[in-house]
Amino acid sequence: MPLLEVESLATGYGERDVLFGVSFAVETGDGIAILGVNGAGKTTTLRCLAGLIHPTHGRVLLSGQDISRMPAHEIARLGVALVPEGRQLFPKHTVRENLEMGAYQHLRNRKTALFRQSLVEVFDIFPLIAARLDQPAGQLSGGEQQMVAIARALVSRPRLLLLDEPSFGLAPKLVAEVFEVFSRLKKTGLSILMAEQMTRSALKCCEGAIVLQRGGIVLSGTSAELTSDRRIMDAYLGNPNY
Amino acid sequence: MYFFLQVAVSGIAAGAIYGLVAVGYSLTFSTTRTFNFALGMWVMLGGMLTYCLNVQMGLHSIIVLPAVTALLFALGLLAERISVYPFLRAGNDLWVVSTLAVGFLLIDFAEIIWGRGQNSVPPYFGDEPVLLWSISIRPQQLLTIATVCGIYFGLEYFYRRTLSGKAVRAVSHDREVSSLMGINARRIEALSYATASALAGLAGFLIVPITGAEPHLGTGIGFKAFAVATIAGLTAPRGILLFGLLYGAFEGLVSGYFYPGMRDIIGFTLMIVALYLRPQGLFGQREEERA
Amino acid sequence: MILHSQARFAPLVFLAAVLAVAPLLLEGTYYTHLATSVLIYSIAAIGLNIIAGYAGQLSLAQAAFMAIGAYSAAFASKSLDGVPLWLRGGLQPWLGMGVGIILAALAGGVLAIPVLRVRGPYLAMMTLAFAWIVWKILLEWVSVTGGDLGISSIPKAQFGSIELDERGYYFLALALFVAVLFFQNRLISSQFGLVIRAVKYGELAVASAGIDVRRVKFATFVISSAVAGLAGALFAHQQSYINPDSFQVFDSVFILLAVLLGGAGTMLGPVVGTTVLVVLPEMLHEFAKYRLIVYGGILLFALYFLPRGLVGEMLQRAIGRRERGPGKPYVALKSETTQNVFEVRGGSLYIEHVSRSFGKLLALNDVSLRVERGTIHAVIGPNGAGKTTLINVIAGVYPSDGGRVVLDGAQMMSKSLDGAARLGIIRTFQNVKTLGDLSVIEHVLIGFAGKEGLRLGRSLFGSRRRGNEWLRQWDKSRELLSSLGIPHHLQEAPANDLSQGHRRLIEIARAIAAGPRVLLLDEPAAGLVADEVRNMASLLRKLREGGMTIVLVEHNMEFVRSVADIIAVLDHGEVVACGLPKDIVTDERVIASYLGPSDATS
Repeated sequence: MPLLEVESLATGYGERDVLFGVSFAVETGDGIAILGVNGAGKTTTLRCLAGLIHPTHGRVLLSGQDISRMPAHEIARLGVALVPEGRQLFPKHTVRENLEMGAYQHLRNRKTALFRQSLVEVFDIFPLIAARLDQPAGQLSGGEQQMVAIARALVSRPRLLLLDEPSFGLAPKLVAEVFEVFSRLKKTGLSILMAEQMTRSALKCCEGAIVLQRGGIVLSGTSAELTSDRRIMDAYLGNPNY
Repeated sequence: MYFFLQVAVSGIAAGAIYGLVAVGYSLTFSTTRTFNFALGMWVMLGGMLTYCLNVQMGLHSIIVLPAVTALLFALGLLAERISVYPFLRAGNDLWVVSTLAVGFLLIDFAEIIWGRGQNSVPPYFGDEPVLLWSISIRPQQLLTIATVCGIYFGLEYFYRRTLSGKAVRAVSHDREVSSLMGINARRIEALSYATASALAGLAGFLIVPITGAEPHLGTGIGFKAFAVATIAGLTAPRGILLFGLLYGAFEGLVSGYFYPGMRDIIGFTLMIVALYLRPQGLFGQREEERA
Repeated sequence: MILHSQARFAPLVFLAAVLAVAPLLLEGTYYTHLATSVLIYSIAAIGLNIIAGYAGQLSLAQAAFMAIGAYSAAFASKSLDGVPLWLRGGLQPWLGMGVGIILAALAGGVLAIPVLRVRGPYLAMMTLAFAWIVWKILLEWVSVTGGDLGISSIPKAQFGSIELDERGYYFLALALFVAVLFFQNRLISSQFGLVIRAVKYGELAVASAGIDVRRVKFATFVISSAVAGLAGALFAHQQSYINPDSFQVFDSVFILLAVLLGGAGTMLGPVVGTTVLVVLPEMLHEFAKYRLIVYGGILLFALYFLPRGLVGEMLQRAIGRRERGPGKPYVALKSETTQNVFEVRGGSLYIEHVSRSFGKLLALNDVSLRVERGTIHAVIGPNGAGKTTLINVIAGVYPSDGGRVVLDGAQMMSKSLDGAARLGIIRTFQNVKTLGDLSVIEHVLIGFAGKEGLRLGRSLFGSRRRGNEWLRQWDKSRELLSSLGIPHHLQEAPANDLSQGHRRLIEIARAIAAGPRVLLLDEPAAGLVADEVRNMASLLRKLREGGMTIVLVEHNMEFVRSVADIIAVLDHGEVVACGLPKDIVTDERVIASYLGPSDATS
């Protein structure tokens, strides 16, 4: 059974829906990219999956369990971690404290050894963090903050990692490194769903992708199919013939 | 000089109470951007319950203290559920009025149960003034100052060293992102409110041996504590405690050297001016504009 | 002058009749005295309703303003003691009332300065602090106010040389009450009243039409306190003895409670609420001990089950929609000529080397754009490129660090949203916000209010000619809405009922009404379905044909390509490319901005 199944999901803000009938699935150990311009519904999809907003129609299943109406903190405790757009670290907490917050659900159950283990793994992936542990997170550079934000999600030991524009504010070389990290993590069984504007990098890293336009899926397929598909550019820049 | 110190120290003891109650405002404001508008009435409730348990029922103050604090904690949870949460969820400002309504209810209950008059509560450690560097200070005042110092360090430890404290700070900063980490923000909000009520109860316990217990004792304290909280900054609990002491000293001095009635007037005028000049308070940070 | 339909007059007439007749039916002075009290507190409540109900600022100082009115009226009246009777007759109690109103209004103005800088609970606390201060001063300043003992022997009111008894005074109070009620009605139905109500729901939207919101709030606050002063003066003459006990903080809360219970933001709500709250405890006077419990209980009950208050809920049910401001104009004036609404002369906008940082983040870096009049420029770019920042800088929300914005050859020095709007830069917002329960046409009227300039005096005391001006704006609004495709039958509906597509049109209508030289549109096509997008595109093209200058930010490229003359691409705060649509779409740099670099590093 796929790890995540989204069935005819519709949701939005206030009285207006922004997503209309979106359906897709993510298998364990796979990476799926959500592509499309701003306003297409990428962030809304991720926020809905994480439980920050609730669907108006359709449902979300995590390993077969319906999580559509669960509050965000419960979904997080089921192993779903969202790295929100723009990082959103706690600026006055130190890097270490940010990571502690990430691992809150484990630490509150006294699993300190597990947390230390997670830290070791995270330092392996992002060595730069180790040096900055006791600095207030607000003082770090944009790229460093992004790394901490991803690390904060990873220390919760998720099954499903949701990423909203992980490349935002990162220099291209760093983007390549970070996406490389994602590829590695997938091999350990982590499933990834990322909303991205850097289409090419995302397609290289993921197995498949869906393209959103105005709240609906206009294109989907494996990365191999989509990479050479001219229609992706049309979805971004618009084509009078499309 | 001696008079100056004497008056200042007495003032500091009063200021400690303001600080204690003011922290209550800060606790709820940080997490929910709301507060108990009638916190002063809860101080009164704590005081009346102290009178009831200590004098009327004869329980020792050692028992009364935790009892009163716990009772007010529980009542605070209830009040939050009834008079704040529904309006928070609706997204309007009516909690201002509803918390006030609860406050008035409390005053009336107190009047009905205990009557309108002053009821005296004997000091817990006797009334012999203690001589501290030739300044005479009553044991009750000493207890008050000591308690507030203890709470100061307690808060320090809580926020900096404990997981829950860090989680509370996280919720204060960003409720949504905190919930993404598995933090139950709703529970923290409710507990903050309850804690604020408990602190108010503690303040009541400390103050009634000095002022006596009567149903209207809370109103002035509530407002003054709010003045302290806003001038110091609603998001800076430790700054609030410190400033409370200063404010108390200032009040005492104004009282001692000028006309006593001027106290409140100057205090509140200061508050209006402070809110005008620096809305985030002396120790607070400017909040970014939320879109 | 707006004429109301008969239906809305009827309850007022009925009420007036009841009130006029009442004292003749009631025996003894006790009930008359009570009725007078109801009238007096109703006046104070109406004053509070204007600032708290309609303008949405929860003030807890109304009793303090009453106190100022009462004490100053008492002084003024007592100072007439030496004056001969024939002269006194003309002055008493009018001098007192005049002085009371003026001093209360002055106090309101002074308090408004700090108070209107803050919002919500802070505002409530500040006004509460003020109320406390006033009460304390009344208590402590014994030499002037008599302290605890207050002021006694306040002379009774006179009409000519007749001293008014209880019943006579009732009629005096009744007359003033009716006057205040009509005043509220007149104010709220006017253009100024519309602006007050709009400010409650969306200050930004109102400011973007060129209205100085602070001044509006200030004037409203002063009006509200002046009315309280009148109530206070009436109170002083009724009681002939006043002391601080009647003007405590609780009394301010009481008045607010009356407004909320009756229905904040309704015309008759404050009257109903006050009647209930004054009469109820009298009827249960053996339960005086439980007074506060009753009030507290009523308050909580009202907040839960009757959030709109008694009158509000009744209106909601009976009429099926919430009470709104102006009624339909009875007589529609013929407008001079059917002006083509799209004939708007646009201006040129030159953005020169504009930069803007937020702390360490450089959001805009040396951005320059030349927008000639009568053209449409689109600004596109990936997320975080700085597009909204650019709009904000042009629209005056914040200044640029270096560089300048030149409108029709003159550098824009404006430091505020409404200032820029008055110069002709009108913007719309990404998230269209409808203003509460205001109707479609009222949204557009706000735009005209900004353009024509808001005059309180004109609104209140407008002559026939001025009244026609208001009607003319109604006509123009209708015409504008129809030209934009909003049918007549929807124009009086609450804007909330309309679809997203219509709401965007309404916002653009408001922008056009505000008299723009440049229109700044922030994602005008967002949230629209295909038909609505095409409609919007053709609307913009029509505006351009009429001469309007438009700058828009968008993500919908089909839309952009169908309207834009020039496209500028922003990435990381810099202009990456700028030119004709057909060139931009194939530009490698543009493609790289969106998709990421295509070389082997990715």
